[in-house]
Amino acid sequence: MLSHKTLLIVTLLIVASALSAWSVTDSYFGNRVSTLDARIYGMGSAGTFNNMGVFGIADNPANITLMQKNYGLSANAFLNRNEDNRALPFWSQFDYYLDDAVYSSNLHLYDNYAGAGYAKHSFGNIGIGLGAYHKPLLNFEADYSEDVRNNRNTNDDVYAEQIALNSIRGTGTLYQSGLAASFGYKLGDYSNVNLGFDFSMLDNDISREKAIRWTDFAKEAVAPKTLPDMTETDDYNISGNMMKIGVAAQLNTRFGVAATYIPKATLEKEGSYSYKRDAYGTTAEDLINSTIKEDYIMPTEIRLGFTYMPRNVMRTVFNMDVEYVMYSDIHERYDDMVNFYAGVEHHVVNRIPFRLGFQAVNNQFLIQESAYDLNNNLITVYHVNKVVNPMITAGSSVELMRNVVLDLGFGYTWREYDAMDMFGDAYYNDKTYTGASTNSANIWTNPQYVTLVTRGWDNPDKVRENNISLNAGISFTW
Amino acid sequence: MKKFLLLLLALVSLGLLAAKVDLNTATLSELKQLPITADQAKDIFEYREYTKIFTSIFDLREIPSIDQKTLLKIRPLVVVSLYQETDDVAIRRDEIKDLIERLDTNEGSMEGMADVWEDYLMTPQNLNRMHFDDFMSLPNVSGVDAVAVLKRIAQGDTIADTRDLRNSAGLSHYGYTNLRSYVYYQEPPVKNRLMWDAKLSYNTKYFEEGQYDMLREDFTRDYTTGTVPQRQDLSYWGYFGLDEIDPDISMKLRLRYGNNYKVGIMNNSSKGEDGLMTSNPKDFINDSKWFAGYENTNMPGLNNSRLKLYAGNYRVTYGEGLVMENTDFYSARKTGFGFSKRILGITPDLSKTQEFALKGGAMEYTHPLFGVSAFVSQDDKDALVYVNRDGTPVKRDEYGNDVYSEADGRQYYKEGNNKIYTYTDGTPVSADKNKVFNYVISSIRWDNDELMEAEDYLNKELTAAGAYAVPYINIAARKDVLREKIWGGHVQINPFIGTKLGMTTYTALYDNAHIVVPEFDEMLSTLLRTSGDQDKLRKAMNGEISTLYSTQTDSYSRDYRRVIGFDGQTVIGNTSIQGEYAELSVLGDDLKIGDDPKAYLMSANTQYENLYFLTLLRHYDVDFDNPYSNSFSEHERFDGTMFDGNVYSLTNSTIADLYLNGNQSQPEQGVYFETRYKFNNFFTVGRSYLDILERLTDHRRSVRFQSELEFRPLFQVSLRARYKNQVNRFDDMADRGVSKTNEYTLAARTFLSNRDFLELEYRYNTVYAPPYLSITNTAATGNNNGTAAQTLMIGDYIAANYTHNFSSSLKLQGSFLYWFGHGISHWDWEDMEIDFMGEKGSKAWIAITSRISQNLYMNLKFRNKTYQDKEIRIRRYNDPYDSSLLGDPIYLERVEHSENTIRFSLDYRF
Repeated sequence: MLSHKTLLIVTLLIVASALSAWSVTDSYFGNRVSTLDARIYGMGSAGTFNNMGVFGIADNPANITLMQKNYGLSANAFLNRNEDNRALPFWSQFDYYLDDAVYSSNLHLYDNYAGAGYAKHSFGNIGIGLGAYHKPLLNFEADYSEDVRNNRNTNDDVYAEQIALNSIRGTGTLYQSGLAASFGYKLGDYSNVNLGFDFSMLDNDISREKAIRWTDFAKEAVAPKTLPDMTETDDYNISGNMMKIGVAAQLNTRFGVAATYIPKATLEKEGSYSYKRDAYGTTAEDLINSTIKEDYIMPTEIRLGFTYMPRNVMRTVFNMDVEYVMYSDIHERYDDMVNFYAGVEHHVVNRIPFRLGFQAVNNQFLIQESAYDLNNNLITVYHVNKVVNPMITAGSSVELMRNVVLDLGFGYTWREYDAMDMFGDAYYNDKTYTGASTNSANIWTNPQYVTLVTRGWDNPDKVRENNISLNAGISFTW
Repeated sequence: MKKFLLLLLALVSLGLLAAKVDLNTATLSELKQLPITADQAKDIFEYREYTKIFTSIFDLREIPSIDQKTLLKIRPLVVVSLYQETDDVAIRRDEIKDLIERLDTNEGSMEGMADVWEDYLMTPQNLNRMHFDDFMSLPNVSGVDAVAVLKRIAQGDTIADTRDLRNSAGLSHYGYTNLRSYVYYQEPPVKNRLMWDAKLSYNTKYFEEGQYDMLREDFTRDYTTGTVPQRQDLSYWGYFGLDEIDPDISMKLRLRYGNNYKVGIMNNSSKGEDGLMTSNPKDFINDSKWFAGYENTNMPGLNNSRLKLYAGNYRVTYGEGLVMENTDFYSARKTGFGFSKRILGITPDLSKTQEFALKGGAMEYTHPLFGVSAFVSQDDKDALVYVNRDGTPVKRDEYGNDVYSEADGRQYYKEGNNKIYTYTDGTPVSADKNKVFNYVISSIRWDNDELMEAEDYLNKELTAAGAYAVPYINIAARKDVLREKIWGGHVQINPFIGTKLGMTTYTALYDNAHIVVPEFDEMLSTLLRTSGDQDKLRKAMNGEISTLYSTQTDSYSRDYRRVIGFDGQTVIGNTSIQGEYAELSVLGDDLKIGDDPKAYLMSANTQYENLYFLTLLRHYDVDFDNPYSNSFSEHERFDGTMFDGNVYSLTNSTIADLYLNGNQSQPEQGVYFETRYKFNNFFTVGRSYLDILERLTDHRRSVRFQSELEFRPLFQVSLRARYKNQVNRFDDMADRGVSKTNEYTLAARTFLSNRDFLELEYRYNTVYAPPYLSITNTAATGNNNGTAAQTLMIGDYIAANYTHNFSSSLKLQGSFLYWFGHGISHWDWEDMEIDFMGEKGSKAWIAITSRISQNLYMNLKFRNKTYQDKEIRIRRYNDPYDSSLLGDPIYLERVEHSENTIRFSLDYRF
């Protein structure tokens, strides 16, 4: 039996280490990783009050002295399969909007790893605990590619030729390494209050490259060095530290409450930005280099949690959290948001748990665009896209040996929203580079039917992302 | 001495017993005194606290850390006392938990009625004091059942218990089984105390197909002459960014003390509307529904009378719903029998309905011999309003003129191109009433400012696109624009048991509006965007639109709508007969029968132990336009009019909400028969009906028939065959013929142990139909006509449905379904919602109900539905020589949608 479990773990690790990539949408926050406690992940990430999972100490430092066991170690793997589909509105001949034609579909897996440990000791009614963890907070990895094909008729079983390849590559995950301490006071067998403090450091290099590469087919269709490639790069480092204060109290055998407060943290973002478009014809290379040095703000977060342990033949725990995120700390255009988490754990048969959860997390994408004001001055316009991520989760556990448990948490979420086309169509208008009055019939095989204009917000992409995630953790507690 | 020794022995035994540790009451420290480890003591304590109360000492073996040796060691030292639940509410809730779950699953279609029935389940009524209407308001209890019980009581008998009830002569099996859960006999099962129910639900639903089409309709289309702009932002869909997931969130809180004092509040925000976080407190309260009520069924000094007083939002239903039954939702074939019931009288209202909600005060006083109730309401209703180019409502004066304002404030009306500033008597032109087209239940209740900004944006493009019959949006929805005051009431006498005669009336006063509906001749130019569509849509059933009620016509100008009706019911033997007659006051005398638009309904239900037979006759005049009427009908109003499937033609596509969310019956007349017959334990003819009807606007005649045969060779196995047939005949339209629908369904069901359930179902449909009038042209040379496009469509689906109960705390339900419609749509009833399935696709859903504790329920459902959009075949006339088509039809297909839906709810009842 153990061999099967070992095989499962090894398989998970192999799968995890082989692949990486993730959503390209939020260039500010990347992709935020929620709780690393696999048990709580299966319960909708509602774990502000958590007296079992080792990684609960990273969600709320007060959980350390709340723990049922005195010592704990945990290693976790977090896998996410991201599917990104971008579509154009599709119209019938009566100009009747039918639906969306997907023009780009990317599917990748990404992985992150984390570890945590704690120890607590009681002196009479007073408990003291210490813990440490290392976990991903923001993941900036991305791997997006998009074919640009010409408009050759395809009714003769001939594929339209690829004329350019667009790509976005992102690397780097902002890891959080934290130390947590907790003080608890025992009021009774099933009642106590705990206060915790967490200090963490964050530091990592992030890079993001956006590129357009004309294919050899396109380059050979016109005079040499006519079609310019484009590369836009952000390389920067984010560093700084964050604090968290937490309280947790078990009121009686039935109820527990908890809260955390993360004050606004100002991290440093330093690095460089470059834009390069190759020379073409008589036009010189366009090269912009600049440095990045700005504050990177993590917003204030307040989270309240609640746990309920009723009498139930399928031994049951119900957790619910509400989180208030003050995004307005970052930019006035952001609205503060409320996120909701809830989950339940039932012991089905032979004490095997079945966990089920739901969460509704709101994202906001801040988009900066250039525009002209009434006096024809160039200004920056900010647009915020609010996108809700509803998520369902499920999970279970296997006791591998005494005190060693493998927890598995699965999640599925999707989001649907409008977004600007990331690579404007005007770039593929070869008239711009050749100086000819029409597009080349060698590149655009039916040039009379193509209008290469960059779409604006009047006709945006419809984006649909699907994420299937697995949170696997092995913990040893005693 | 011997006696003393025995006494001593008994005392010693009691002492020894008393020294034993009771596993069901011991504290943790007491358990730690046993010769076991501290961890084992904790495990025992937590088993009792978190899993279950000990029923036997051998339950200890279910705890992993307690082995047989430990059990034997502590066995002499412990006892297990008998545990009995003493909380009467907990006991009652456990008794009725299955019924509550069933009501919860039907809540989506019941518009808050489930709440009322849940209250009756928790705090039942005293059977020996119930009135006839109390019985009639309970699900699946008939008038015959009510009379059977009431006659016994009237003879001085007192029904003592459930078994006694069963012995009532004339009470049907189904009446008895449903009635027994809603009543008590001597002592109520729950004493008066504070009870509350808090519910939160989150639902990421999608719009229905018709709503999608309406919201996505582009405002710059001029396909007859111009270019196709193809801009998403020129539709409401694109302008408001409706691609994004935007959940419906509702919160409900009800508190009551016994059945006497009740309060509640509910807020619901749907996709596209302001939610809790984005609306200000004033709007939040304005959009919420609330009530406070007092009920007393045991009035001091008044023999067997009952009083209800409600403030806030309440529901009112009388008779057969012809005069008054306030709801936003249309429900086909609502007979008022079986599970298709009405709750009569005044009830609190926390349903999601908004448009026909009543807000104010209501009272009801009933006695076995008579009843009286009255209500007043003032609420601002949403309406479709005629608007000027700047979005402001068009004003109307008392003489029926559209009145405009100059910048300096002077008002004028137009005669040709002349502006008239004064009336003939010299007084200045004056108008302060909005010109309203009709009430509207909008798919999205946008705020007026947002909507006007959107219209302004869309209007600019309309101008740019070319010549239209109406160059701007001239009719638009406005939130809370129609101030409606309602007063009404109902009086009833009950001369004999089971017999009642009642009269109902209401008057809706419009303080700030004239409701104006264009005459038939003006209708097309008012509602259609391009004159090119007028010829086509002249053929649609638009009589239903032009006959809507106006408060201002060529004949009169008034500021109210009044409906008066009479209803009655009697029970003769095992037959219950009931009916209602209603008139909308237009030109006739209020109290003279037959001089105004009318509607009537009469039904008779005969029941035997294993058979019932229902006959229902109804007639609704075309111009009987009563928005508060929700009686039996086969179709909703505006079915087949230009609002149905012709959104692209309308000056504003959202006018189609009148059809898409319409709540009123279609003007029709017909006779309906329904039966169910159980031959024996093996064979049952399930609910079967035949409806023969005529739509009164175009005299389309239809026959609809459905029957079901169930064969149950074993209790656990059921085989069902169902057949449905519908024929619609357009006798008076030369270019439309007959449509015929046949539907065959086979289902095999197994009822497994532990209430588990598995079903396989196959359905096959054929539809032979003429095309919609709107996509055909007149039968001129080179044009097609209806005959040429008669189509036979064949569709089918296969489904597997299952339910698995892990225990009484955890239930899993789900379904897989694959369908291929070929133009035919299917309807599927899921756990709580009805789903519409067009063309072809597949879907799977899973719903998990977790009963976390006796009081707390969590429900989580996930559904994926992947389907293709409609196939569109466009024949550009029937011209085989059309060089642009080369003889082929234009053919679009394979547009795929994938929809995920999550529904999450938490319900805490205490």
